[in-house]
Amino acid sequence: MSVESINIFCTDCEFTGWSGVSDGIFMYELPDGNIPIRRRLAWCHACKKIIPSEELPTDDLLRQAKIELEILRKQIDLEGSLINQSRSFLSALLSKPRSEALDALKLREIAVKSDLDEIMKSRKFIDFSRKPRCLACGSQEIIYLPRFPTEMQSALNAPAAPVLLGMKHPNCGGEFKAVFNGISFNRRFSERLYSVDGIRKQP
Amino acid sequence: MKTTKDQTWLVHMQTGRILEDINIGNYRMVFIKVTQQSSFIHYHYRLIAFPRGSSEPILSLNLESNPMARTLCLGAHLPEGHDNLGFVDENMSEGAFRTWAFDIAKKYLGLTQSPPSTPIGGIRISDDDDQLIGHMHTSTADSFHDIGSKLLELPAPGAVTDYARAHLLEATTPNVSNAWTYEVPALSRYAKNEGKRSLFGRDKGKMAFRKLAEDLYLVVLGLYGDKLLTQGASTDECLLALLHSLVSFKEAYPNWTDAYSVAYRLFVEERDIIKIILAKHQRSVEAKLY
Repeated sequence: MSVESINIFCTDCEFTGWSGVSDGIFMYELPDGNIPIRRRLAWCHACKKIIPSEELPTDDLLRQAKIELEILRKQIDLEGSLINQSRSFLSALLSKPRSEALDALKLREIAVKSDLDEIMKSRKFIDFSRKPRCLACGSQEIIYLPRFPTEMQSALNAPAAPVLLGMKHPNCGGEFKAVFNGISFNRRFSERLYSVDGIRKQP
Repeated sequence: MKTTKDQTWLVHMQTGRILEDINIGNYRMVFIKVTQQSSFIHYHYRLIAFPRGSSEPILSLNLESNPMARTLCLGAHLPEGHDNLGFVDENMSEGAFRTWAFDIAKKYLGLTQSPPSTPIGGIRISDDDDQLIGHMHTSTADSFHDIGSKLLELPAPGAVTDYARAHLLEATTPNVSNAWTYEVPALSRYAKNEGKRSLFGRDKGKMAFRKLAEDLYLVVLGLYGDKLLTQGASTDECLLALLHSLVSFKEAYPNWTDAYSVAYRLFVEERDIIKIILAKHQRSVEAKLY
């Protein structure tokens, strides 16, 4: 599959990393079938580089998903009532309200709902009170990287200049910056299996 | 003597609530609750240590969050840079942070003396490091008026939307900023309809107020979603956070003057009614989330 990636570098030293490390098929192996691992880019103190790490289905993550869903539902209500206010009596009576914003919100609601379901499902199997692990070496000495700014979500609108990520390079003091590398890679991924404790199983 | 590289402590001390200002050993320790954010990292509580006779800090221990990463951490600003001392649960209380911070400060600074077991309230207004000569107590009522008065400031002639600020707001507090895009027009509608009646005698102002009170739910949700509020926050804290976020929104979108002036009246002068509404929304949000 073709994937875009973001280069991450330090402002004070030669360090570079990239977001492509978290692309792939990472699964927890369970007796009843595998479930995908939620991943986040992180700094691993053992690997001394940017790595994919587990994002455990913690209470906080669950709460964030719940709140996002609640916000979307309220927004859909509000958008709906705004559309109705702006329509004439007859059109309100005879046609369904259409709005691109409303459609986008409804699509997002579906995505967030399925995300929430996935979090709830994975909480049944995973001990989310433990520390998340580096999916490269299994170390728990990791620090999550901040999520990429919204303008970096798509290569189409991404700024050409590197943007600050909001995190210092551990042991160096420089700051991490991110920039789209402008190359789409065709990659074929193979499945990587992990135990529910986040330890990689031998291929 | 080397000092921390952090630049934000001064703004936080000037704008925040100083909860404690005491001397321990050769250091002046200032414990503050941050009320105005000034960087991409949001600070909630800070314990800042100044060597005696110095106006620059040598250590700052912080409860800090990164709105983009959605993480809450314990951090330390040292002369060598910033250290992340671990993630914490978002319910960390003021008391728990104080205990942690004084413990860590003792280790970093090699202090033998302990802080008082309970906080000494008030702001020291002496510049003499050895002697406390008085306390100036702050109250939340002052804070409401101080923050709220910014809503009444008129925009400069020709002021337009500050897109850079709007963008920053969306990046740091996306949920609240989004909520205000609904609530500010609702405030404006209320300002327009207050005291008016429809042809059939319906009170248009009352209807507009009901709508804006209902829509405040989205703002309260946003405050929790952006981690500006945590479980068990008081209604006063909720209203303060709401006012701060509205002031930030106003800085980005300065031209809804009617909405901001009515917000000042409702959220500051006649805040008792809004507090009841906020309490109801808070209860509802917390019941769904916790």
